[in-house]
Amino acid sequence: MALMVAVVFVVTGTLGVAAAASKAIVLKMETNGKEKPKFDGVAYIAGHGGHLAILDLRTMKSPTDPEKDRIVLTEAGSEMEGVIAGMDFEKVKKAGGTHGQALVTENGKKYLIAGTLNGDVYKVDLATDKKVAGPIKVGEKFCGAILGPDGNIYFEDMADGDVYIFDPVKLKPVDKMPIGKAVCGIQWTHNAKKAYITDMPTGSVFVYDWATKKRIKTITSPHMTFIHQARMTPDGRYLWVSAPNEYDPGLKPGTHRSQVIVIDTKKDAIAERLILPNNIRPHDFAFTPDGKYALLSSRTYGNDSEVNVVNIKKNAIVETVSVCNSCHQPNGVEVRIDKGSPLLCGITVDWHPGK
Amino acid sequence: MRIRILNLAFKNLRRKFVRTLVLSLSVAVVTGSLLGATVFITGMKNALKIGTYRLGADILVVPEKYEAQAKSALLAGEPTSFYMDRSVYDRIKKMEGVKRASPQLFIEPTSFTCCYNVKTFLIAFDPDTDFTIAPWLEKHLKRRLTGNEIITGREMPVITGDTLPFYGTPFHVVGTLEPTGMKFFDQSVFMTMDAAYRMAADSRTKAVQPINIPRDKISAVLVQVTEDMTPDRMAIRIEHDIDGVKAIASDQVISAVRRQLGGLIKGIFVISSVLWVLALLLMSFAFYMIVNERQRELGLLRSMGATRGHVFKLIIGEAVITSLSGGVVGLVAGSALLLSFQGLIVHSLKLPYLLPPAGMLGGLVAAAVAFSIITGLISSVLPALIASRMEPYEAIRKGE
Repeated sequence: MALMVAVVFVVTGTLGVAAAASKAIVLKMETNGKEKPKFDGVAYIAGHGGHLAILDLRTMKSPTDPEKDRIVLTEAGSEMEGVIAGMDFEKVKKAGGTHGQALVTENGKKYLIAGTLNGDVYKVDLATDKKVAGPIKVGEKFCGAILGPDGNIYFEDMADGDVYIFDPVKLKPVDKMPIGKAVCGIQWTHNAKKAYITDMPTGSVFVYDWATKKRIKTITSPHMTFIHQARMTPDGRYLWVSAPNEYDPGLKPGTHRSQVIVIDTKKDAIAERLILPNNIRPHDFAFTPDGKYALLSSRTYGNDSEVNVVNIKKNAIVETVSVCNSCHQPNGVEVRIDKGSPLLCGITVDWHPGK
Repeated sequence: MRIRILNLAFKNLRRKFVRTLVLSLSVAVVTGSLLGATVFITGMKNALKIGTYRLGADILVVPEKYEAQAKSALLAGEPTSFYMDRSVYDRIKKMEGVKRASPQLFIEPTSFTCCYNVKTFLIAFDPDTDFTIAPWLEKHLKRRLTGNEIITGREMPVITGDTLPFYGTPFHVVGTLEPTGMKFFDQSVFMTMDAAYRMAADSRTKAVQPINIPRDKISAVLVQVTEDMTPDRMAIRIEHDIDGVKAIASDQVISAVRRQLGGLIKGIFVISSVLWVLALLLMSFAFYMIVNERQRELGLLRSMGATRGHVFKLIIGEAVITSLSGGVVGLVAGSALLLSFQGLIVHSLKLPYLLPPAGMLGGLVAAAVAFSIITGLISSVLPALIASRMEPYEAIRKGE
């Protein structure tokens, strides 16, 4: 154990809580089984291409229509406009692929507040699925966009490691907090006393006392070498952290399994690890309100990205829905960015959309 | 007979004057351009450092629509007038994270009032809260400004005791600020806000072109933040809490200029590197040819008792003398060109500039001299080694 702590210290530069002894559960693949769940909701999933894919969870049918099944924020990748000749990832980042969005309600109307890879913010009216504001320059390179307990949107910046706090009504930044190197996600306990912030390249989950805004703990693990988003389970007991582990420390090619790290929020320690197949690299999650299912927006790093439905009780993936290639392929779209792989990012679900 | 190596080197160079001149000039071009560019960029950084120190503020809060004018006023001293409600100042000074705040008025004078060819900028400050001019007043005047007293920037063509009229009101010069390189200070006239409001009120009856500045209007709020707050965070908070304002963090302005300079530095570095490599190649080739054509002479020197070391030193000496003289010429020419054109360049770039202090200049000149010596050394090491290794008899035979 001492050796493990020493290794963690050397690798991360901080003395965190290493949880090498946490329980590992290999998730079963039961997508061919009888269970085909459907939910009363519509999922909006960001992607490097600059648009949000729309997945109707009531039908669980993959998006196919470039007009109806997506919301275009930027022409970052322009996958849907045809073959992209020679567009490289650097250009996409400048153009601003979408990366995360939060659902807010204003005067009874629902809006998405979305952040992009060039640090811009957009507001989308879900009644029309059209942009109503933006681009608003806020940060450098956004990962997550999370609704905070104060009603503000918290944008995590992968370029400067700050969390930008954004007022969705005034459409202005409120403040920013310097946190880590490349932060991606933030979540709070139900009483908002603690916040958890993920730092991608260090594989750390920082625990903050939210009243004082002081870091009180750093959770690390040899199984978290490159992490993305984090989401709190509806009961507030566990924090799910996506650890697709594409990289090892020092951004060397990843050697660890893709997994979900489950953190017990009472102990602030890793409770268990959900091991995933290597072609399922989750970025973000959405839990059904009853907490029975988790929807994973996952990258395959092949020609598609998917939403995987996990039955939490059964520890099984019961459904997989194509979200990118289902629309790209029939429309003759060839993805040339990210080594030809359409990369999904944050997922937000409008539960009970009523439309 | 004792032959001194250095004398011999000088004689050889004089013998081939045109070749020596061409080689020297190649080093002169590199040294001169490098020194000129380095001094210029150091001067800009120097001005930014001194200017922002003089400003003393972490953030400048201005009306939202006037961000560009405010930046232009700050960096290039472009006179401008814009106003916002004084309540902005009242709200900012109460905000958490604000250590000190002080309002200012920016007034663009009428073109025919003052001051020859200098674009004057009137800046009025609040003596009770000011931290920009107050440190200077405490040190030099040892009292506050009263009545219609003003302080002027160093580039204003006036001296203490002069009287300057603005909008029909005569103002008395009681001091001149030290140069900063920022026209915002160097071409400005500083007065109290009370004097400015009175001048505006009196302009209705006294001035050809009156100006209207109600007492509840200010142009900007200068803000210092507390130790636990960063200027960019405070700027975000101010912009969020107060509608219609732009909070410009001074380090953002500086870093923007630094980014601009960064591109310039990179370009100059690339061009200088290419020129230096060309000069090196030219000198190396020339000295290789020199050694080749002087084989007989060098063989005779060896047969007369000169050691391998003497021959090595001779070739190295010739190269160092050539490059050093080129370096000195480059220093003089570069400095002359810089002094002649710096005004034009600064004007076109619209950036602050102040010649670096003597110590730093001395260091840069020494570095340029060292650079030219190193150029000579590097370019001649190989030819010198070849020359020193030649056997006397063989060298004389080959050279015939």
